Formats: sequence, structure tokens, C-alpha cells
Amino acid sequence: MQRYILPVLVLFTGCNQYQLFRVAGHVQTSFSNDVDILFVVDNSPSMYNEAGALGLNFNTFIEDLVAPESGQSTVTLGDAVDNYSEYVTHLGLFLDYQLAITTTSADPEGLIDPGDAGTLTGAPSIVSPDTTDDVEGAFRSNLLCDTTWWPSPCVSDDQEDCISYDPNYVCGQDPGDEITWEYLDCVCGSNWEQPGSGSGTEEGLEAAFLALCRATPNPPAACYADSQTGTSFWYGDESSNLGLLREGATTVVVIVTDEGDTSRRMAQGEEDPETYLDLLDLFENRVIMVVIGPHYESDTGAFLCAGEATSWGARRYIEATEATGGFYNYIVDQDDSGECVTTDFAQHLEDLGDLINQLTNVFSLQTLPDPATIRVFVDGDEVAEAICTTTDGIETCGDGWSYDVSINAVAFHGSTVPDYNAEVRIYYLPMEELPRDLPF
Amino acid sequence: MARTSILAAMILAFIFAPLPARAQETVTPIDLGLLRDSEIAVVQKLLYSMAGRTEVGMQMGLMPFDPYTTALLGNMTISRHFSELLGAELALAGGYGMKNGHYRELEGPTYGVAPEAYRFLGRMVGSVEWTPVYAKMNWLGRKVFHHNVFLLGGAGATLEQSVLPAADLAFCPTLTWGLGARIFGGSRTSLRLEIRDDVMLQHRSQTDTNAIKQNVMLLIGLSRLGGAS
Repeated sequence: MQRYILPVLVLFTGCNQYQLFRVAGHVQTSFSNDVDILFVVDNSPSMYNEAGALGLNFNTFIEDLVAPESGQSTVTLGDAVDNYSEYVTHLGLFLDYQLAITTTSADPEGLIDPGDAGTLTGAPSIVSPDTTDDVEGAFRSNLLCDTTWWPSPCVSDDQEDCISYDPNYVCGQDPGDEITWEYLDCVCGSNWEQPGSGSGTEEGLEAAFLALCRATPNPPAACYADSQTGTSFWYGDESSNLGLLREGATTVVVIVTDEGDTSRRMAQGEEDPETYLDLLDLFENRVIMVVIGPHYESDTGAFLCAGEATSWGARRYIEATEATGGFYNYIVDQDDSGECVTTDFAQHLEDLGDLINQLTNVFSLQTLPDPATIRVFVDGDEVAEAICTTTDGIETCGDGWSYDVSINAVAFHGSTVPDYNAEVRIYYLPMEELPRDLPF
Repeated sequence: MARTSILAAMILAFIFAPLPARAQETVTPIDLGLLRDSEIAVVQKLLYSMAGRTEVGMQMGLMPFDPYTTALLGNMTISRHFSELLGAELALAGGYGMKNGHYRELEGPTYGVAPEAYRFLGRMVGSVEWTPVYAKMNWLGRKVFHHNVFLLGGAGATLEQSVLPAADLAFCPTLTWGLGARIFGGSRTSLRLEIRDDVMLQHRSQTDTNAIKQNVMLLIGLSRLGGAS
């Protein structure tokens, strides 16, 4: 009898196999359409050029969000109904955004300076059109005056890694592409005290997590310091970033760094950011990761202008952006002569503006799909694929969804743009393997 | 997989454990002449005969072995026993498979993955029943249960539905086999335990693929035998 038992067991317990679809989308959580944008800026000494470029080009981002015809009221549902056609065509105008900055320094020794361990820099530290008429100026001040470490003044024309003087600069003039002491004096005031340099251990993911921990009165237990994490979040730190996370808002974390991630809760060399994605999931808000980071090409393994950056640290960021529907841009590139140069921050900020503008009608996919397998559901009802036509190079689409391969996203058109509180689900078969190991 | 194997082994052990207990009736020796062992075919008096009787049963069932769904079902059977050994059965089942915890975790934001699993909705199968074992089991020295053990094999069709929002239906040709036991409570009623393995060919429309799927179900219920014992 025993010799029959094994085959019988095998027959009874054969595992059913299923194809695995990827799922994208989320619930349009609130009418307010709030977007909280947290910049996590690497303030180590190697980053002042890039921080300067971010500050100088920030107008690109603000102009993307605040078009001349802005000012549509979104206080009530009636406003949205009245302005529906405007909403469908200019979604960005209806975004209620706010900005804040922390740094990648998560391991302060001694006192915690502003920007360390998830704390915010500047005053006011949370900048929005509701709190200031000059959002661009306030953000630039927080970045250049309270976050970025600046090197010493140049004493000769051929000196590198220094900040020049420009006695002819007059406040309000376009500074061009270069930060000068006079420009900083104009932005920061003549008696400003520049901040110290940040840690050489860049922990972008840990800093972002700690910033969110500080934004709530009841943070998850994982926020608090213990002997294993050695992190700097203590009882009493709750709500120290209160207002950063608004109920129902989408949180966009923008990490700007020339190094890969070396956050403490993951082992060195570990590429899968699952640990931190799980931590960010502890917050109710949807979190999208955007990284302006080292030039690591994950497809080819090429690593240009790497400096001290590691490929695994860069891959960690790349996978985090893919998993959350954000994007990863290179902070440096080689010019025609092979020299490493800072990339165009105007382009990065334009990409960021586009991403935020598209939050309501464009849904990024985490991996490349087989387009034939895409199926889209809003509140459980299937949405048909739109019929798109191209005339004079301009594509127009009827009601429905379309797949845009250039941004690897599904876009809604016309009357099928999901309404507030709609649950959007996009199913597709990935062309590649799943990016993460599954537990089952 | 380990949990599944252990559970299946326990069920088999339960079913086969009484086999050694086939009781030899103690009778007063009568001189019948010399009988060879090969001439002794029946060693058990069948207290509850099924030959020529019709059996109707209702069972509750559970399908716990699929990796992503768990189904509850109700099963109705009607059987005609042509002899003590052979019979035919028609079974009609309906139920509903639900996503289990594994599925819900996978489709959450951490993994963003949705298996193209199908949930059980119903099935109709016809089977041949072979009942080679009839035995008695003594329970704690106080109660004797008569029971039999049967094997089933047959074919039919299963109706399933995709758990993805498209909710595509699949009608699946199905082969089935099973192993069960009746514990008689009287000449008309019995407690029926059964483990069934439905093997079906399933067309999955969202991926336009064909796959072999197994539905292993555990059933327990009562059945009633018509006619005289």
C-alpha cells in the first residue's frame, strides 16, 4: 500500500500555475488633488554645483504648474463641475501643491541641524501658494541659503571648486548659469550664515522615510530609533514636520544626489528597495519616487562619471522609481569631449512638472507591458481603448485610454478621465521578468 | 506544499487505517469439507448492502489547496449501485472561490502583481464508483461502525471565472477521480467523506492560453440510501 501513497499525494497536491499580471493605478483619493513635493537634496560638498542648478532652474518647474490662466477655484465639488472642461484640458491648474526640502544626511553626529534626519530646512519650511506669493523665491531661498553647502570664494580665475565674485551683479538680474556670492547675498540677505556640509553617507530613502515620520502625530513604530536601525527619530519628534503630509494628498519624493543610496536599514550591495517601499507603504498617502541620480544605465550596466557612486546604490533608486511610477534622470553626463558635466536641470524640473500635471490622467506602468494585454478598469468598469488619429504630427484621441510607449504610461482621454475618488486599475503582462521576488 | 502534503497524508491515513480491522466473524465450526484459501472470497457479512439501491447525498466542501483562491462549495450526488462493488454517480456542485491572503498581498502596492487565477463556480461530473472495501471499525471498545471505502473516476465539466476584473468565464472539460468512505449510521443513512481531484483543461481568455488546472476538494456530508437493505 505504501508504494501507492506517494503518487497519490503527488496527484492531489500538484500546484496550479498562473500567469502574473502587473497592476498599476491607484485610488484618486481626494477632491482637493493635493500634491506634497519633498525634495531630498544631497548636501555633501560634491553637490553644490547641482544644487545651484536646481535653484537657478526652479522657475521652469513653477511655470509648469502655474500657468498664466491659473486661479481656478477648487474649493467645492461645484467648482469642479463648473470648470470641468478646464479641468480636463489643464489638469495642472487644479493641483494644490506644496514644497519642502530635507537632505540625504540621516546620520547626524551630535546636534541635529536643519535638514538632518528628515528635518526640513528654511523658514517657512513648507512653501505653497497659500503661504507665500513668491513660491519660487521662497523655495530658492530654502535651497540655496539653508540647505546647500558652498565652497570658499575663488581667489584666482583658474581656481576650481569655489564660488566667484561678481561685483556688477544687481539683485533681480538673471544670474545666468553661475551662482556668485553677490547672487547668494541677494537671495539670502547680506548677513546670511551658510549651512555646514552634509554627511558623506547619503541615505536618500532613509531621509525621505524620516521626513514622513516627522509629518504625523502618530508615526509607525518603525520610525523610532532602536539599536538595530540607529536612526535619529525619538519620542517627541512626532509632528515636527506637521503639514508636510496632507490627508489624501499624493506625495512626490524628489531625491537629488550624485551618489547611490546607502540607507542604513539595507545591507550594502542590496539592490532591491523593498525594505523602504514597505516602510513608505505604512503611510496612507500614495508616494511617488523621483530621482536625479548617478549616471548608471541599468540596461547596459554602463556607469558614466561614477565618482564614488555604486551601481547597487543607483539600482536601488532606479527600482524605487519604477515601483512607484516616478522617473530616474541622470544628474551628470559626458559632453562631446568626454568631460563630465551637470545635466540640464531645467529639463529635470520640466519632467517633474509633467509628472505632477499628469497625476490625474496618466498612470505610469512599472515595467514595459505587452500592449496587447493591457486592460483598464475604473471603479470596476472596463474602459475601452481610445481611437487615436494623427494629423500634422499632432495626435488626438477619442474617449478611452491609450498607451504611450515614450513614457510607458496609460493616458485617459475625454470623458473617461477618472473622476475624484475613482479607483483606477490597469492590468498587463510584463515583457520582462517581475522586478521583485515574490514571497509566494 | 508541505502543509498540503501533510493534510493529504492525514486524510489517507484516516481512510486506510481501518483496513487491518476487517473482522473475521467468529462462527461455530461446521464441517463443510476442505476449503482452499482461494475459495474463500467473502469474509465479512455485509450488514448494510447497497446493491440495487439508489443513494442521494448532500455534502459541504472546501478547496483549500489552490495557491491564490479558497472555495467553499455545496455538492449534491445521486448514485445508482448496480452491485456491492460497482455503481454510477452524478454529482452537481456549486460554490464560490475567493481571493486568499496571498493574492491580496500580491495585488497590493508592495508587489503590484495579479495572478490570472480562476475561481470555482460550479461543476457537473458523472463517475463510476468502485467499492472494494467493506469493513467494521471498533471505536474505543464500545461502538462498532460499518463502513466502506470507494474509488471514483469520471468526467464532466467545470465552470470557473477569472478573479481579474474582466471576470471572464471558462467552461472546462474535466476528468475527476476521488477516494471516499461511507460510515453507515443505519440501513438508510451514512456519513460520507470524500477527497476529489478534478483535473481540467482551462482556456484563460485574458492571456489566450490553455492550462491544466487541478481542483482538489474535501467533502463531508450525509447520504441516504433508498430501497431495502
